[in-house]
Amino acid sequence: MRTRVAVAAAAAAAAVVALFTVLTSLVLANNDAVQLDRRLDAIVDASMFPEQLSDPRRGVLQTGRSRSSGQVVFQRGLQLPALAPGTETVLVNGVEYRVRTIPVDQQGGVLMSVGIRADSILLNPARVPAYIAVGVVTVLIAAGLGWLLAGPAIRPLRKLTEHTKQLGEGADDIPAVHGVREAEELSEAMSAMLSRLAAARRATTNSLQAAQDFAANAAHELRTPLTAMRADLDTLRMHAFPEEERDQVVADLSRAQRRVEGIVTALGQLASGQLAQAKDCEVIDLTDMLDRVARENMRVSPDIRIDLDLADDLGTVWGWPGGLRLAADNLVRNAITHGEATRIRLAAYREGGVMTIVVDDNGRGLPAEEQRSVLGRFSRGSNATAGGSGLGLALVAQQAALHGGQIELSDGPLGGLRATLTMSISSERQSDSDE
Amino acid sequence: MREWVVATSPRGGEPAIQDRAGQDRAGRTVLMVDDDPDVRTSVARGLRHSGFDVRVAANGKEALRLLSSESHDALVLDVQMPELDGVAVVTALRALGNDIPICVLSARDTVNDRIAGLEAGADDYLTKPFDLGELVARLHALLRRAHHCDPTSDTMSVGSLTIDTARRLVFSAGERVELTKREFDLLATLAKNAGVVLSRQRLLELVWGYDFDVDTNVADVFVSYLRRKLEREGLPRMIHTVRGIGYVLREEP
Repeated sequence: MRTRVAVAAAAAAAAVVALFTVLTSLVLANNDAVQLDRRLDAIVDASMFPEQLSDPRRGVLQTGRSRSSGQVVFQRGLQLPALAPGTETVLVNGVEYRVRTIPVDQQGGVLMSVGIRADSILLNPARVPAYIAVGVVTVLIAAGLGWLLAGPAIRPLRKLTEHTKQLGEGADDIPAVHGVREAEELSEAMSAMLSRLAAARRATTNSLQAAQDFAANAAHELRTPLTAMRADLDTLRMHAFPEEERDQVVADLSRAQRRVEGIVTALGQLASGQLAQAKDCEVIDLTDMLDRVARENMRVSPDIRIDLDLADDLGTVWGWPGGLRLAADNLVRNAITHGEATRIRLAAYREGGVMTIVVDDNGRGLPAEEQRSVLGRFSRGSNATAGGSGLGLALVAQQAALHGGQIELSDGPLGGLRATLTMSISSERQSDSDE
Repeated sequence: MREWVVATSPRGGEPAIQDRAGQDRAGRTVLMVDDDPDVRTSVARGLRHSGFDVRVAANGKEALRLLSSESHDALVLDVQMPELDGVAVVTALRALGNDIPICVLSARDTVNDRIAGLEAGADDYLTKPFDLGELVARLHALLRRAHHCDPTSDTMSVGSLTIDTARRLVFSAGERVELTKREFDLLATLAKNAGVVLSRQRLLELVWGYDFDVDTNVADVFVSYLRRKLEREGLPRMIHTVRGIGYVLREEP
């Protein structure tokens, strides 16, 4: 690129200089010849044809004046004016003559002026404006040539500029530009940057869309219990109730309120799962954790029995303790609340690099066609108990994914549902040494 | 089907209050359809205490079955339900020629849901959560309207528009235009008052019977439906908006 522009500029300058040199030398040579001829003419005229000196076109003019009186003493050709000794340019009959005047000691002191034509001299001060004009024209020609020659050199850049201008107006990509290495590199760099920007924009759009959907779903989920609450409050406000019916309304109200609370809590948990950071990971003793899950959930009702069936070499996993606890809790609570199970078996074992937790229950199970869909956010089983947040299993799925595993639902051996939660222990760093 | 609500004795049952409101309250049956049991219970309870005889259904299928086996006076319908949703129920009912007043309930902010419900032929919508008193007032008005049949049966013409109130037919530039019941009522009201600017409030009163303060843009939504149906194929605008006031039906702009 740089070379191109330099070469173009040099070529333009060279062309102009060459032209100017040729012209100048031609003119100068010509002029020199004219000068020589003139001199020869003068010599020839002076020595050979004194009678022709009267021809003003050719001649050498000679005028002698008395130094004292200024009278013309002798004259050849046209008369020259009275001049002081020295050299001067004078105008005689409209023709310029260069005249030298010298004192001659003859006839009592005479000032002799000899003049020859000066108008054919090229380097004449009167022609300075013409020279300047020629110079300006030369510069202009040089500039024009430079502009013309540099055009092809910068054409790729211009193309690139045009493509870039069109970017905002529909075009999403710039076509490759050829011809100059620098321009090609620039266009490649811009293309790469554009595609990076587009990818980033797509990612932003997608996550915005996801966030929007999520917000809409969350709003919908919250509106439902709020509708029930509003209706109950309006009913209480508008009508007088007997005591027991009023108690019923209030009970419904507080249930709906708990439901709102549950949704808000689950939404918070979902958000914190999304923001889970590696530095919050800890070594988790799974035996201890599952034991606590079992004990605390059995406390809910005396009718519920939770058995633990944990492998002896279960050991620890590396993960988010709060999240894993939430996942295990949700699976057990789901069995109790939505499966109406009375017996739950919590099993865990490790196999290769995978830790598996299995939750079996004797509840009412889940139709096979819903065993996948129910894992989605805000989706509930068709036989689920009313009032759930629709987020419980979505939270389990989120935690499973965070721990490098997954959650699977299937028909269980106890007659209800089986939930199989796997997690990877490959990222676990100190489990074996800790054992 | 889990909660069958048996009709409670209407509060305005005494002959002393045989006014208009009393008539409305006397044993009017409302079917409340919502898939959420909490909403179903609470709204049904509120309506029952407001003097309606309330039945409930948990989904669209159940609602259609109940509507076909028993007579109901009005329908309160959730738009978002699994399987057969509210829009499908409205569409099915109107296709069967059932013009029971329908108020749809929508839990979404997005207009799409309720718009779809109204377009299918529902009469009004409320966004969850709503004021129970508002629902009660609108149901009363819709029920009153349902019985109030226009005795005048003649043909009105405004520009290229011909409205046959007896046969409830509308022709635009000679071609028949399919309108839902509420759309027809709105157009007939505008035609009867051709050249007269009617405020939104007045339209709500004349077409929906809402003679109380009501915060809804249902009139505007229906005007936009009417325009869409009447202005097809480059026909000139007939229903003009008078900014800040309301709407007027006239030929020239």
